[in-house]
Amino acid sequence: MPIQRHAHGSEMNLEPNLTPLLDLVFQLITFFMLVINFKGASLDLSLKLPVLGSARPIEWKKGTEPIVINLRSDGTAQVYGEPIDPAEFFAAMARQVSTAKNPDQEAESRPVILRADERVPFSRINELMTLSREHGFENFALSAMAPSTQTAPRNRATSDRTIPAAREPGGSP
Amino acid sequence: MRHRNRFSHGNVELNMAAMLDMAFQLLAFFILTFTPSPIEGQFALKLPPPVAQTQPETLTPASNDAEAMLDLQAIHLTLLANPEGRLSAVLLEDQPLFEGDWTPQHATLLNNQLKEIFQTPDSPFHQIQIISDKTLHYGDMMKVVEVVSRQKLANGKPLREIGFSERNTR
Repeated sequence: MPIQRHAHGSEMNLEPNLTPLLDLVFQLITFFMLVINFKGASLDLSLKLPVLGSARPIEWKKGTEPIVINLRSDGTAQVYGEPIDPAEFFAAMARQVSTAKNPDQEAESRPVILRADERVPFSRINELMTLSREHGFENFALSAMAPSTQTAPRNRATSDRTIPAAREPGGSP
Repeated sequence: MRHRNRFSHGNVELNMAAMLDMAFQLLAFFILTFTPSPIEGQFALKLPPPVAQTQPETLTPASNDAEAMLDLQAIHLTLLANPEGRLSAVLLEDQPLFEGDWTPQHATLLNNQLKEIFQTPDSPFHQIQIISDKTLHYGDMMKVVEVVSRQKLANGKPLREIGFSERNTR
């Protein structure tokens, strides 16, 4: 690091050059700003999702805000970390949707994503799906983990060729 | 111009320390709030209306019952669970397809059977009804859903109408 010499009379002023350090810090900030994921708050990372080869992230339509429900192995449902009663929750969501200008369109634009632990029994899953359908939320998505050995872009590129089911309701076909 | 001349010989230095303090605070915030999100995927479904469990062979297309007509257009896939909640057998239209633990060969078999049904020209089927034991684990059910969601209809569109219901145990 160069040392700047400033002669003020006979005194020598030694100052480290902070510019490279600042450059580095700004680059780190930029990196973290780009990778920050505020939606992560809706995910319960303690759940053990099933690992499936063709699970790929869905690109929802612009402006679509999915409802993410986490279902733990003991059967408790959570939204944003708060335990919920599914019947009350869907009733509240339906009331909220009914106040929109176009309720049918609004319900369609709010897909429900179910993130369930792999040990949750089917009866509990079915209960949530039935409630969802009864309250008009027919677009439903079941979450699974993509295998960790594959990176997301490579997975998408290869699986589009081998697996015909491109599940992107909002994206281009 | 005069202004510039006045300072042209001076040595102007910015105090970087304050900016660096702020940058470090921002950096600390982003590092502390950083949680690497897992690579997660979803299987999108369009939930069809509930269909009662009926015996398809007793129905005819001439039936006036709308529910029955819907039922006729659906393939029924029955999933049986063992006492531990693991998948033990799969039945296609009440005919045993395979028994035992789920293997890649079973996945291929199911995939081929469904492909044959849905991709036949003029196939009347456009949805699948998965009838499962109550105790079947989500992880095992999803293995079947993965195969089902790969299917395409005769018109080339992906099969999205996948219904679920609990199996009536007698």
